[in-house]
Amino acid sequence: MLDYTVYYRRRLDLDALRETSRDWGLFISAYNDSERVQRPFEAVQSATKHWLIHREYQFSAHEVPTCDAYTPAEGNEADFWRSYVDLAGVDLASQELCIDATGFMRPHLAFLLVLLKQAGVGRVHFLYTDPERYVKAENTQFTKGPVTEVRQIAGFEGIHSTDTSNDLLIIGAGYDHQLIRRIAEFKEYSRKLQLFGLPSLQPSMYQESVISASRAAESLGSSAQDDVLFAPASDPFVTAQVLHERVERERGRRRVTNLYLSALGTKPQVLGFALYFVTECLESSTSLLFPYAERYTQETSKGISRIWHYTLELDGARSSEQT
Amino acid sequence: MNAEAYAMTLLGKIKTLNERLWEGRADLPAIKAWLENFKAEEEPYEGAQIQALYLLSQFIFFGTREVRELLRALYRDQFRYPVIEALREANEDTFDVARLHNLYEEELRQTRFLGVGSPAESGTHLLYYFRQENGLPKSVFVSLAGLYDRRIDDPTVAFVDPKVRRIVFLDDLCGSGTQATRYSERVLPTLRKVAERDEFSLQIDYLVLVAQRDALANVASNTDFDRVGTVLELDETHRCLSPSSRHFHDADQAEQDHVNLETALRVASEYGSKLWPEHPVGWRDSQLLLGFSHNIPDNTLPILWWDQPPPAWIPIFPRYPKIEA
Amino acid sequence: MRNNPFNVTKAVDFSDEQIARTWVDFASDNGGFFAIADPTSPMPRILLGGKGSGRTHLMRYYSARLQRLRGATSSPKTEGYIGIYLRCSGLNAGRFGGKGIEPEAWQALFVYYMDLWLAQLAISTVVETFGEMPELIAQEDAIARLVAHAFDDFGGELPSTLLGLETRLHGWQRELDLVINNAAITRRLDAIQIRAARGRLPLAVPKAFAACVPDLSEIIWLYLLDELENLTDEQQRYVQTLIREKEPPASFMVGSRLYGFRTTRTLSADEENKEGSEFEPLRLDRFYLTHESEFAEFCRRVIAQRLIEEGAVPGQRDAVAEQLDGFFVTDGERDTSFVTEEGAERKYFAVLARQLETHQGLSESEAAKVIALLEVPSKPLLEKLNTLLLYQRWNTRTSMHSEAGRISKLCAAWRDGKATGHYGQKVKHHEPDMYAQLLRQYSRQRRYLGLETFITMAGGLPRNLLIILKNVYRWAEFNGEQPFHGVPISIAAQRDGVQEASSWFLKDNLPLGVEGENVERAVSRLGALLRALHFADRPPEIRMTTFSVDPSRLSLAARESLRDAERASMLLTEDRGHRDKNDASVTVKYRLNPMLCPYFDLPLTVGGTLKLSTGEANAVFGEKAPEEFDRIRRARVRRANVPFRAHRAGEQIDLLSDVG
Repeated sequence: MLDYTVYYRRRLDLDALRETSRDWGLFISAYNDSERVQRPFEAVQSATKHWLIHREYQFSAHEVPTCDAYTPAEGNEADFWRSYVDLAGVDLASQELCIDATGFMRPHLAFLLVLLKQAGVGRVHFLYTDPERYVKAENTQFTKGPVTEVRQIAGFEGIHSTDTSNDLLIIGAGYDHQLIRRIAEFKEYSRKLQLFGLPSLQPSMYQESVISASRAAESLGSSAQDDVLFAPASDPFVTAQVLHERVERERGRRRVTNLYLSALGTKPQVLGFALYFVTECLESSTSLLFPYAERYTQETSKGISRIWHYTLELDGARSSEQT
Repeated sequence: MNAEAYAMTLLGKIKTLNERLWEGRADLPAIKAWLENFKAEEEPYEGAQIQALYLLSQFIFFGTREVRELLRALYRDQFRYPVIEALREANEDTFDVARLHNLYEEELRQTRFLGVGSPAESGTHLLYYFRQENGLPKSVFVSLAGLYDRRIDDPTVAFVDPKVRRIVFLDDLCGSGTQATRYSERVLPTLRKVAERDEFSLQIDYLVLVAQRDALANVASNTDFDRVGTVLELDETHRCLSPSSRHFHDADQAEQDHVNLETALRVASEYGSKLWPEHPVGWRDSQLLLGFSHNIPDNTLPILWWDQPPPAWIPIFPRYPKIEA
Repeated sequence: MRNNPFNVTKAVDFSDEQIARTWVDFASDNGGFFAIADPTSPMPRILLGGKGSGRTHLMRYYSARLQRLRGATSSPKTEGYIGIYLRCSGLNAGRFGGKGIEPEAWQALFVYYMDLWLAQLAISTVVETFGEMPELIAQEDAIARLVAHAFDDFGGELPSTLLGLETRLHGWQRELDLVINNAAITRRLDAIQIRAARGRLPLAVPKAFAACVPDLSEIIWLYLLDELENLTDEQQRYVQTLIREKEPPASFMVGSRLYGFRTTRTLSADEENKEGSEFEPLRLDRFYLTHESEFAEFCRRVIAQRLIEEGAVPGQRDAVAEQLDGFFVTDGERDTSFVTEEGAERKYFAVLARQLETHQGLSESEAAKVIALLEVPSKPLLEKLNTLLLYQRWNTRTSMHSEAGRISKLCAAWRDGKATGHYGQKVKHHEPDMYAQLLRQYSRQRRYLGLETFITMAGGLPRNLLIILKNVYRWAEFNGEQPFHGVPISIAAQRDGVQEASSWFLKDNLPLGVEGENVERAVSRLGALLRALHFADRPPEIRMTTFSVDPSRLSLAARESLRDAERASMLLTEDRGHRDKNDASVTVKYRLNPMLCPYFDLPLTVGGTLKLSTGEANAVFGEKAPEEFDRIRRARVRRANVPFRAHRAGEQIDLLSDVG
């Protein structure tokens, strides 16, 4: 038996964050303009704090912090982390590590989990801060440039079956219908399910994300319309649990030939997808897919609503008989 | 974009909402009939209809599917999570799921879930779905009267099940906090008295699907609940006609050209005052744009739901009137 | 709400059983699809089609699963082939690259991987289809060994069963998967042994079966490689190599989106496969467009089948197909009551009056006299036409009054039914455009009504038609109608559904990356130019959705966008190359996909061809700044508006200097 919902998930305010963060050796956050990225960084009291700068935000040199900031070399998500580790000379495995997921690119965030799992890290902390709202409601654009490539995320490339007759694609839907469309088309033949963030970060956001996803309806096909999954937009653990339960149910009905997952929603959902993968799907016919764009908007949200602190225990929460 | 084209844009959005989320409750004939309300002979100003249409396009509706999901979240996030967390902490951060589940079951057996208000009200009405969605045993649900072994005015009153240590009151919306406060004043003293007399600690929670932030904070500080919680929280920006309203921020050009807070406020309050003079923009100035499949709260703008004469008004999301106990 | 019968618009949402049950053949009297793309032909075929051409539907119909479902596999000879269906996207080809590893190493790995994959598919397909044949069961051992012998180094014991063989192949594939996945972290490809020469396995499997089972020796083993667009250029070269090096009994049918078909080069000494000698191409949508009436018939049957299947309309398919037109309101197509209802004043005459005064120097009363001659109060359309005829004589020496008098006489004679062929011709010629202008002048949207119109709009892509109908249905439902039940679907629902489908098409067909942005910009500019000219006082051509251009003279950027727009089905090639009589240029004719016409408020039917100068075409398709495009567009449109001169006084525009 597996239960992801027994992991620790706590809600903090900035004061509590200050206290909690004293236990951390290294804190890493991805730089962007949002208040919800900057203020937690300022509050954190860990031994070391690093900004990572994504090239996709296209900041110019004078726009980003110079102190404790690293701009990893160009390349994919695997290269990004390799480059950071080299530049900063840090060992991610030897200290209490906390990552603020809020500003990271999704594939980079996901890859980190594979990397840490491989390095034998048992526990890692993540932060995520909810915004008050997005600047243009359902019309908010997170991806600025066009999608240039759709592929598997490094480290999440499964061992696939030649039989593609019952491939399943589960899309964690976010606001960006372009991304949803590209993913759906990449695995056009698969049966598709959408996972929506409900409860959403803000009450109106669920409705906004449904409207946005409806613009990709034609690519999603009819299977994804009525049959939808829900998981809280701010909870990686329930997300992983919902994936686990749904996939088990699908497998109980009929063999799923290949399983594809794509997390396009909030960062906690990305963590949930990645956690589910590293816990249950390594070396199976499952892959994590992502539609890559060249550029991302630097600032899409307003305000700070809630700060979440998640403790991911990568060994998985299983009942005693099976561990 | 001219007004007609802008109205078409809004209708396009409403059509999507209607298809995907509103369970087909607002089709074009219904919208047209509703918009006719705003065409009164003595119409005070131009463009009332477009303001109304815009407000409608901002309406948040939780259909049956969504309400059920929120009820799952209510149980899982507001009740089960904290209990499990406490159990792990008390048991060396154990990761043994089977053991945790056993400990949790024990906690659950000592819990009772009740709806806020009379059995006819939505808090109570939701209990059935709450139990169904979360696969809970009937034994943890009781009515207030069923909790006690005799009449509550009997000084020897006790719980039917002496092991009960946690009471959870559930409701769909905490809009102003009035109802929760009144209810707690009426109900909580007896519960506390029983616990005190029999010397056990009793935790009393108040959990809702949606709450206005200030209202919930008031309930937390002005009542005897040990803990209050909500699945979704509405901050000041959800008061749709307040200066900080999220619906009139970051407007695009078309929106700026045709709708604005000032006019929308006039439309909603002038028409609203004809309908419900005491609360023209919703109960105690709530100004919400919110509805559930089972009912529309009276905190929502009356122009959307008013369904009783006088005057004759055609609602777009009719509200079932509350039957006063 | 009832279920929208057009909810499903893609083959993927149909099970194999549904495809078998609801199959509609194309022009079945002439042999149907089997005659168009014969699966038993040894000549490899490349099936190209825009999104929604029905290519996947057809290729799945050819697959062995469907062969089994239609009972065509009791004997291998029934259909004479076995269809081995592969979706290239299942290979997840994107992972064969990067990670700090040389492209050559990836290429070799991909080739081997694909060989293993095809061999496994071929074995499992034939076992699922003919596994019960006694000869096959008896020869299993021999077949497995024969296949194993095709490897340079099979390693270990040879398999004695097909299952054993498959297990070994899958094991090797699994090893490759792990190595590829780990390369993201290790940045190297750990020791991999490539056990078989390039391309040998996909041919070895059919040969082994054919050698051991006589009944399987006389059929074609058709590899159906669908979704080729998911492979990179280099990877497609391997598919081309397979085509070139194919040996009987194997053959190939490759399916690809237009824009995803990247090369005909092979890996064999860089040789190129030639149309006609190494393969036959078939462009499904173009085929449909050139077989208009059969396509319309096919569409009607598809829709009828769907309506019956979904329980929306009862009856026999062909009978329902006959009744379809009645489900849509189509009358009122030339209704002009909205003009007469607004009173005696005419908007177009008001404009004309101002123009006569400003540009012809007429006084108010003189202008009124001219206009009076053009009036036909009960027939606004004729008034519009008369106005156009006057515009056509705008810069002649004769006075406007006498021109108007001549027009008036012609008009009156034609209305009396007297012999005035010229005027009648003008009516026929210009009526649709003039009606469109009337609608616009009176703030009304153009109507695209009725099934016939929708079929034209689909532009040879059956899925487009389903999407139009789906959207029309949704709007009808939102409007409170009951589509396909009694009362025909309203004009409003048809109009809004068509508009929604049209804007969907523009967004949905954009290719990935910057190319997509370029195509979107180019098509939007083209649409803007065509629309402005279409609604000009004197449109240069009638029903203008076609244009001609000499691609060889365009800037590189413009040429690429033009090519990409065509590959994305935004443009349809009408005429591949036409040598101009006067100079050496070779012009190509393109037509805006009719699916896009409602979005730009343009007519669906084909009329005249707009000749674009090199400068204009560069502005539309190239990377010129928006202001630059606007300047060139305005210059072009000015020539079509009163006073019909290219530039204002003092403004110098030299279009020819703009050659890129």
